[in-house]
Amino acid sequence: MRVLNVVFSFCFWLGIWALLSSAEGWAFGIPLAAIATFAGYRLELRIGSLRWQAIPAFLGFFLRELFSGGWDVARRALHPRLPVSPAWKTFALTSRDPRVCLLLSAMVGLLPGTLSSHYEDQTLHVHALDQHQDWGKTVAQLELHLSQLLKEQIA
Amino acid sequence: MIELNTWLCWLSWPFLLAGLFFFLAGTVGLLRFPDAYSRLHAVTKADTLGLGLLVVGLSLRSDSWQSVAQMLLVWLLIMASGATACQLLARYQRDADRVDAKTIQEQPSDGR
Repeated sequence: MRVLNVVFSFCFWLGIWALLSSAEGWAFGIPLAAIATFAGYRLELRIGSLRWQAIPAFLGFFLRELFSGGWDVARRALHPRLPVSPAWKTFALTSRDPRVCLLLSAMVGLLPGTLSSHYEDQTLHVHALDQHQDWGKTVAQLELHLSQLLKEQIA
Repeated sequence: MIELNTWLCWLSWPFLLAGLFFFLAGTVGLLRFPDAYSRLHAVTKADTLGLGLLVVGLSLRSDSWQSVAQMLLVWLLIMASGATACQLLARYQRDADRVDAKTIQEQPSDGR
């Protein structure tokens, strides 16, 4: 099973190279794909199984919030009074799956008004651009979408 | 009758201009926001959205599916690296702020 994962990973990186380089420069692309595969293996990166039917809802939610986040920050940046009230806050994670926590921690930076530095002990450390904004609801929704997408067994 | 390509070319303009708007807004945020964390908000969100809109606009003008796929892949890679780098920068800055605060607390008063 582990060998199969390595082969799949190598093919994945080769596919990325083929697309980016218009299927040229294989003398550079093949070693690069091998290095990427080795790095992923050493770091034990494994996305695991996905719930494919959850992808459309996840993509819809993410793209909507990405637009909303960009619009929110642009509006604040261009507003004459600069309506920001930044503060560090904490968010209690309900998911215990490290894949969900890690992805959530990175993706929170693309949601409206939030940015994460790290998570520890089921707590996500979030920087809110406006501490009075209801940012927790959106983060909780993303956590739920990621749990569904990554097939987490919710207790 | 106007060709489909001409229509697509016209249709691409709103996306290209919107992309430009978000890039400019992100830069304004970078200059105006009060601290390093808030500036990270500006560059991450506005630039990712701006690039996405540019990719949509350029895809409408593209003549091959391969270049559309390439641009989408570049956007995904930049979005992933941007989100990760933003998180790492915030973590680094927060650690540095904590060290600075601790150093200030530990400094002995000179009595003046």
